[in-house]
Amino acid sequence: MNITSTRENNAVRLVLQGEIDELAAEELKKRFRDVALSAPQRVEVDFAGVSHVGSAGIGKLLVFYKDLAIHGASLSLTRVPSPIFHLFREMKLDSIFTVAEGR
Amino acid sequence: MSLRHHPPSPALLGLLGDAAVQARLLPVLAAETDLSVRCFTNDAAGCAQAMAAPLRLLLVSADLARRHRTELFGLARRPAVVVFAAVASVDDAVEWMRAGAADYFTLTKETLAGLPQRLRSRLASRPPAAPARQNREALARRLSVVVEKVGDGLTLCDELGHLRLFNRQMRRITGYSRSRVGSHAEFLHLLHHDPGERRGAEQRVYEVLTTGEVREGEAVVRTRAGESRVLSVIVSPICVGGQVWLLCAYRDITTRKQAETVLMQREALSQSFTHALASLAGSAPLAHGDRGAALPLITETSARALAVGRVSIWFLDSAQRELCCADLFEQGPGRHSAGARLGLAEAPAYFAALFTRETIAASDALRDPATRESAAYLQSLGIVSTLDVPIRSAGRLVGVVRHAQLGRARSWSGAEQAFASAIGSCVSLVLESEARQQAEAAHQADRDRLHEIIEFLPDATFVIDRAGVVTAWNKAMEEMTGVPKAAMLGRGDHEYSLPLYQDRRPILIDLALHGDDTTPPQYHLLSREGDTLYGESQVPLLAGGSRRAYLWGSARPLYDQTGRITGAIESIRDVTNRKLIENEVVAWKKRYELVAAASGQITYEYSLASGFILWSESVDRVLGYALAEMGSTVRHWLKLIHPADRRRTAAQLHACLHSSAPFDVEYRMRHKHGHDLWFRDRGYFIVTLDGGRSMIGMLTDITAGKESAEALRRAHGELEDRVRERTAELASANARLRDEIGERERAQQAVATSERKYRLMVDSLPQVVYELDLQGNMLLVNREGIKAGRFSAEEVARGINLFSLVHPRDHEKLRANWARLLKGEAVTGEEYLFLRRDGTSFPGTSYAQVITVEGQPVGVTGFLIDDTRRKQAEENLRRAHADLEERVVERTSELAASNASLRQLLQKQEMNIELAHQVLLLVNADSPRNSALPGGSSLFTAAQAIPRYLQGGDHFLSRRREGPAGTRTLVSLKDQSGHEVGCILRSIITDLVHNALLTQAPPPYPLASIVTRLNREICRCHLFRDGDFFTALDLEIDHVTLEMEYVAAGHPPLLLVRGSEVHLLPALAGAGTNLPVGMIEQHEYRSARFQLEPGDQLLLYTDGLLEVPALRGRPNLTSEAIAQIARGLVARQPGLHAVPLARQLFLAAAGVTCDEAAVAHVLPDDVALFVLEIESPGSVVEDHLRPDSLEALRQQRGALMARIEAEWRHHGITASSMRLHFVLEEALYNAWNHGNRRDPQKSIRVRRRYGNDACIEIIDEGEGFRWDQVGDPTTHENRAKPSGRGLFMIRRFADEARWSEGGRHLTLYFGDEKTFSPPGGRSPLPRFDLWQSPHFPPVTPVLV
Repeated sequence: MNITSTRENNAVRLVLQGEIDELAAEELKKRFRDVALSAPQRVEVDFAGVSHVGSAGIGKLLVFYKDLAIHGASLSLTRVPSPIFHLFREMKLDSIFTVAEGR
Repeated sequence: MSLRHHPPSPALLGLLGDAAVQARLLPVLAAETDLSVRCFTNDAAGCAQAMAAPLRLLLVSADLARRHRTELFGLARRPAVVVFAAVASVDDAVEWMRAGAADYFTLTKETLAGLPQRLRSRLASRPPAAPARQNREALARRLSVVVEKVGDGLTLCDELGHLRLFNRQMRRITGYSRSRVGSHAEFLHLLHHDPGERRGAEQRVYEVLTTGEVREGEAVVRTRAGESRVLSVIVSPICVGGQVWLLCAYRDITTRKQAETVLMQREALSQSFTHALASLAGSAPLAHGDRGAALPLITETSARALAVGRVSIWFLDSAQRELCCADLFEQGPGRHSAGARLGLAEAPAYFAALFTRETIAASDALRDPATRESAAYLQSLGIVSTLDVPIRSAGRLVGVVRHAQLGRARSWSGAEQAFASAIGSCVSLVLESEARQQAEAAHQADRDRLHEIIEFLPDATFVIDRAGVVTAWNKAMEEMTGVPKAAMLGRGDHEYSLPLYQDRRPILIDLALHGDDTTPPQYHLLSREGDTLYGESQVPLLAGGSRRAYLWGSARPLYDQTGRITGAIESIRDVTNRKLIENEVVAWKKRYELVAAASGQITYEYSLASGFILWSESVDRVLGYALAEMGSTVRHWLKLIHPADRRRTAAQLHACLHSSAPFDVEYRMRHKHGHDLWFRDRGYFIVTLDGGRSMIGMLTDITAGKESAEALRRAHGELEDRVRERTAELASANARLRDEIGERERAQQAVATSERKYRLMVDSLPQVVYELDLQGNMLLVNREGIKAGRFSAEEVARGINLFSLVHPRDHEKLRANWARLLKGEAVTGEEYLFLRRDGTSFPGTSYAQVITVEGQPVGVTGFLIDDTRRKQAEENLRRAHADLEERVVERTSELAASNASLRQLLQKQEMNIELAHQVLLLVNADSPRNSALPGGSSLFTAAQAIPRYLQGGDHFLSRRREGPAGTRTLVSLKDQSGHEVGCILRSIITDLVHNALLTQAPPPYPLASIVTRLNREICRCHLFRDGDFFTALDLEIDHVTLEMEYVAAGHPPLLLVRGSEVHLLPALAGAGTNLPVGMIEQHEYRSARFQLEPGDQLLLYTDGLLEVPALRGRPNLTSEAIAQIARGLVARQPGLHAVPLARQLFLAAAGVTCDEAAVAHVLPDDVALFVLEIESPGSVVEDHLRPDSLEALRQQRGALMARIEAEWRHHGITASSMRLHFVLEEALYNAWNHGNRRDPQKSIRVRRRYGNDACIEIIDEGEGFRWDQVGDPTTHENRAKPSGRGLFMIRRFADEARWSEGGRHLTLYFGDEKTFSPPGGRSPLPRFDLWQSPHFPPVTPVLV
């Protein structure tokens, strides 16, 4: 699991690569917490390099969303691979934050 | 001891320090010409000398100053003392400045560099010479008065730290008197209780003393009365008598600070509101109008921003008489709930306020007129203040947002009320976004459906925009022109005319777009109806064709919502075949005379082995149907029979099939043109070469006979009358001639008798019979001849020549034929125009031959047919044909005009079909896929439906049935006639009734009785039209004995595969064979039984499978041919499981795979396949995992997954590794974390077995869990929760998931990716089963 982040003004962009299983989800949780503490206005998570995400990873995304929402920040997932995108839609996560399908 | 002497000067400095200090300081100071330094020994003697010397500044080390503090700082007259130290210390500095030092510095490089300038500054601040004593006293008195009256508190501290001044204002501010506070240091200690504040004050003093500059600040102090006050402080250094004193000015700014605090709080609140509203405005649920997610977000955000205990959103019902809570957020427990209601009758004043006020701010909600009606309710929840904001949408009240304060009462500020109003606006925004999203979704769906409709329209269709650029080019267009969509989309400049006409030219769509009615040369027909244009043209060559083609097209402009033309659409149809048929009609007209005489009969052969009927080509001529339209099954034949005759005919056929007696029935059949014809159907059974039975039969059109029966009966009566009359005449003639002919009569009696018979027969014929001599004179003509020529008997007796009876135009022809006759040739079928005696004429056909006696011609005889009726029929036919052509044109126009409405209907039907399909899935719930059997075996069942259209009449259900006689698995495969929505609805009704009967009659209720009852209910059901029926194959397998009971109702037999043997059940007309369901109410269905064994496979199919070879233009298959294919497959691949066997069988029969056929919808009829297999217990592979960490679990899971994937490849399991990955991760984590509680001493067993499906069992050593009580993570209340999705994903990606042993044992099945998968798809949540005992979870009422 590889996570890189860039910041421009109040916007943070996280690029994830690899599989998000239970172990990777724990790492993701720490990075998410750091980002939330930096009080950004917008966070974009690039999913193009993610080949798998389990329920633990999805749970961390939702905690991250709540941390951001409390401070008025928005969360969007971009370039989500098709199978994961349809799983998110089936779980209705797209009604909570923005989820865009990758090409 | 001095080290260096300088001449005395006003700037004389003294230095008290050891040798090392002097060595560091002297070089620095010696370089300055305006400073003179005198050194003293660093002891008491040196100190005394320095104090006696006329110095202006004395530099003293801190150590020496501490030893001689009194001498250095206690004398009234002394030089100013500057203390230095080796190490910096704030406390040290404060101590010396407080003691009265003029300056304090440390011996650092930086300090030494600036030391000369610093000392000059101290020298410069030395006070001027003191004024005269009297002046000083007067000035002091004046200053004292001013100081006492000034508005700020003032203190003055001398160089020893004693307070010399403590004015009245200072006393008023602090409550202390001068006598009480003591020294300045003690005063600071009294004022500043907080150590931090005290350090700040001391720091200020130090900075003033060290820099000589003024310092300002603020301090929180405590007065003598114990109150806290905020003071502004200004500390200034004052030189008094050569000493530095401190003047401190204090001002009480407590009130101002309090006002500032209030302002800051308001600002913070405003920012909090702004952030909250900004976050709401930018959130996806609000933007997307997702009410379910947005309302909880709004209540949570509002509760936090306003810091209230509860926020709820209520909506009015349509009658505006009741409020219903859509979401309530309680901030304490962080809980959401919904569902409470408040009626108008309970709170009329509150409802009135909602309709009339912008906000209802009740600081005392228990007494406020608008809210006190609910006082008891509010009190029970601890609510003391409320802030209600009505929600309005489109100017209409739709609900209210309530903010409720718990505990202490609260007044609502204007900002808070404004924020609450904004929250109400947010809810309005959600409602409007929701409406907009729904509208947009509907609009997008309309556009998508339109594109789909265009794409799959049977007619070649394309669309251009206003600029003439192609925007749609459907599949039929690609097939017609050979030009792919990608090559045409975006092209303009009449590119679309190239594949049709080989050049760029305006065509029909351009005329429609520009409203032009000018007929281009390529169109030989062009018409307009409204804004739609119709045209026909001939094109040189279409794609894949070999000759010119005729095209028919319709085009119309497209409009946007404002009525503006946005483009145009054209549909093109290749009507070459229709044109050829029209030409063929003309040809048929010419052949009419040849076929008119032919009799109308249809022959057929009905193969009992295959169930197919082969019709003769005369079907087209007699019934109007092409062979393909006739169908090839009994079902198709029965559909054509008149409903009143259908059951009688089917029952007769069924009886004959059992008895093999000849089949002889009269019934009516529907002609393609809609009218009914009477047929007599006679069939006889024969044994075919392969030992099977077939029925050879003939349909004779007896319509004319039936219709003329009455006329014949009447004609027979008339004939009898005429015979009696004739007999009487002959008797009378005989009596008259009896005497004349005498002996001659007796001699010629035999001849006369023959002549009478001959005359009688000739006169009875409907044709004209004649006899002529060799000159053409008429010797004899029968009664019909006299009638046709309208002669009298006398005229005939006088003699008539043939040429006088034929129109002069035909005389030449007549002479030529007469010559041929005399040569002995028979001249038949010659047409002449004959003349009657009254001058009229009629067409007739003559058949003549010469009469010879002993080889010599003596006359001519023949008969003549009056063609008047035939000619009339021909004329009628010609007119009918013209009328038909006209109707074809009209019908074509009508069809084009109704195209749009048909598309709409099609769209609705597709939606209905999808809904009906979902209802059918609901009715039949989930089919059991893998059932455990005693002895370790298991029963596998799976099905694959391949409809011809979106959904066909084939349907099936499968249920595991429990009863007193044990467990059985039931399978019912049915084939309902038709493909329409009505057909699917009848399928739903059928399965609904069937399921209900199965529920009412658990095992061991006989299967045949259930089918009999089902048939009775269907026959009685008014929802089934007369003639609706279905075929079915039902079977039930006992899980203990493996005995199978089965009932075939007009359905093809099933395949039984046992090892390398393949059998058909039931055998031809064998036990278990029955009529289709829905035909005869009283029919008693009978079943048959068969003993199954482990390893047996069953393949059920509908008759559509027999027709799939038509895809490759090959003849239909028989059931025996299907069995033969299966035999070949199991011989080549022993041990083949049921699913791959069914897939390969379909591929061999159709030439395409199941999934290709399911996607393409190209089959001639629906096909459904249902497989069962009694799988023997196979070998088991088992792993034991004991991870001691999450990292170890990941490693062991990765290795396990690699092993399982290798096993899947070996066993031909095609399920994707992605599905395996998802399921293994969730299942193993659950077992390790929730089951074994991460205990490395406990193991996780992972077992695998392989059959049709891959089976994985995961068993932990934990305490289990209630898998049926895990919530649905997609509901509103669970959607945002970070946990609870593991089971959802397991069910989502496995074909079947079952928990046992209290949740410790999870059994998973993975099957094929595309075919034979669960009918409704893999379900992430347990499906509702209509037929199981309901289990309702307890409902806990929610109080709001």
